[in-house]
Amino acid sequence: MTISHRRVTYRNGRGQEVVGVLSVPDDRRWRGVVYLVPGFERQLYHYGPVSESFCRHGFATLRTDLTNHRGASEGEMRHFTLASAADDMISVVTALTEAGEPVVVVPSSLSARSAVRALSEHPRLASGLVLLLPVVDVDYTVKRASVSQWNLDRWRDGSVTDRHKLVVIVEHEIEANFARAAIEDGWCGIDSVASEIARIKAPVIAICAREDDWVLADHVQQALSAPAGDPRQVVILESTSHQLTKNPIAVRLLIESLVTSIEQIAGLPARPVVHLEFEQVVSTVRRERRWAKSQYHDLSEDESASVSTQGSSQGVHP
Amino acid sequence: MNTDTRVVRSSGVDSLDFMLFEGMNSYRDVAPDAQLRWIREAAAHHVTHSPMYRRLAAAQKFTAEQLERPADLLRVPLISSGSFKRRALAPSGSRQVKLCTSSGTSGTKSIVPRDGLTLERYVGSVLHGIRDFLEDRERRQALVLGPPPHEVGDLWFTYSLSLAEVLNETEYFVSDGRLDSEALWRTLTTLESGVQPVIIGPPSLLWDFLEWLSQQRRSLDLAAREAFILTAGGWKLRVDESVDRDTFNRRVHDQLGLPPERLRDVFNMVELNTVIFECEKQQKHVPPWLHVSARRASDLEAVDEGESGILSYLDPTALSYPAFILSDDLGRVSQQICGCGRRSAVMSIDRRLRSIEERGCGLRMRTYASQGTSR
Repeated sequence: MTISHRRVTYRNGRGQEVVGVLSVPDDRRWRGVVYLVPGFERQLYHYGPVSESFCRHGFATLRTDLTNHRGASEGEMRHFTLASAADDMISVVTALTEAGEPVVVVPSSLSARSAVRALSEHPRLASGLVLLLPVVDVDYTVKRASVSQWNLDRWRDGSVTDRHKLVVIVEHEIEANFARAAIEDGWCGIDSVASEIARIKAPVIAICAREDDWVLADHVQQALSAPAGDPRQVVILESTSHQLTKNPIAVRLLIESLVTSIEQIAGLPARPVVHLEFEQVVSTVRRERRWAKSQYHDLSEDESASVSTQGSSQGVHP
Repeated sequence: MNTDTRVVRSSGVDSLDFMLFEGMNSYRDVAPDAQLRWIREAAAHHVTHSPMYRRLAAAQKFTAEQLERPADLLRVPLISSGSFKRRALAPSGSRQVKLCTSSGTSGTKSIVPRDGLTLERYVGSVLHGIRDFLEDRERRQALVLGPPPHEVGDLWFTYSLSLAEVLNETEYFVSDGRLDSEALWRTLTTLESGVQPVIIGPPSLLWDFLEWLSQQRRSLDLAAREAFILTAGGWKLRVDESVDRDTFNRRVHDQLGLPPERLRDVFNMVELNTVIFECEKQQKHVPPWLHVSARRASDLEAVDEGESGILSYLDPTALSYPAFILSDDLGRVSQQICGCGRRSAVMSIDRRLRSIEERGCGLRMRTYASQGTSR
């Protein structure tokens, strides 16, 4: 099987360039695209092994870096807001669907909150939404994740009033405008997420982790509990946390849940999920880091390093 | 339409894997029976799947069920690290393996077969150490005093260093066997704000970098960057140039601005599937899944607390080979609580075994295991 990778760009509603990588397997099972959206502080290269797995199961993927964020897309991280991420997603999904490609959006963590807003305002834009470790209570997650103990209450109680003041959220300095907008534009609270999810005219599946300190599985279930005309499903992965991308066994569980979810949404029969071997994951990660350094202008494959392997059936050899 | 909730469990994610990949504060909240259970399960696995280990267990009338109390762990049959020399052990199980080799500094190279799960767990031990002993930070740049991946081959030490790239942004500063100190300097002085540098490599190459700084009349203040230095692998062929820890600490402080608590040595050897980290007091803490003991050469019984003996390891993270190792090192294991507050055994290495007499019973064990592998 061959996978072709291509650098693609889009313009969001603010005119900023959104940079992505489109990966298409030659034995594509579905004409649509699985759109992987990185979470806060993550970049598209972090989703390399997930994309590789999707491609090996016959699905094309698109990954983009968020604007006003780390990565190849335009804008500085300090200007990041939930709305800027939502704007990126609307622009990209609109471009894909206008080109005739159905899209399943797979946003992670904080980006999931933006995706819910984006698709609630464009309820028929995507063919499905698979929320991965989705932040549904912005206050709760920011409190848990912020190493600086900074949280949105500092804006609410008036101890911070300058929207340009830089505050640290998960190791990154961003303007307090993030907090102002989250509060004033109705991004906070599980009820608001629940009512937005209810408006989406497509299947919504949420995958969460039982041991997640940043996103409680109960909150996710609550957010998906509002009556809706389309299917809603919550998948809870046992024995893992918000850091599951560092846990290869949990990642395999996640890949199985993701591929199954996309097959379900695309109306395809289930196929057994085959996982990448350790060395394949390592070489994919290295390749992706190298691509990121070139801002995805150089998407050539790595020359494979020599790796000695043996199967036990070959017995002992020096 | 109602929400459908599905709970996905996997028998693959057991408590050992959760500890390795996601466990926090595991030196403070130690589950007393967990280590015994993990080692018992690993022993049962190897008795079932490794013909060599099955023969060794049979010869010693050992079964995994005998491991009922922590004191029973001393009964687990050990494989001398010499058993891995010259030829690879047949792997436990049927998965494909990578043959990992030692540098062969003291003679013949060792060859250890690692499958994907075993390699993943090795990386897990590194992740666990980083979480518990450094900081769980995302914005980190690894600066490796070692060759890039395409130059490493199967040499375990350099391969291990190259795995840093799986975890963090990484740059390599050795090419064709030569350290590029100028490039390291340039990178350290131009790193993006907020990114923590972590220099990783053998002490001899770090020493070379310090020498280069002296010659160039340069110094760095890496404390402001909250940098860490992780040394690994010892001085190997340059042992004659080695300096004591205090001298090393002082020079790192003088030239890089880092206090001793930011300079950590980590320990691993090709036969061991766990990396052992030092704390801020520069003490090597045995992680919760690993059992380390110092043994008398004469009968392989444990020596008294704090006495020197042959170091042995029971490492349940390895699935493709039995990592129940009698090493070639003399060292000590202490159960005293370290000044850092972590609750674990602390180990130190005195020196390599020098003679056949010093190896004592360990030699006989090795002979037995070698015969086992060649049958």
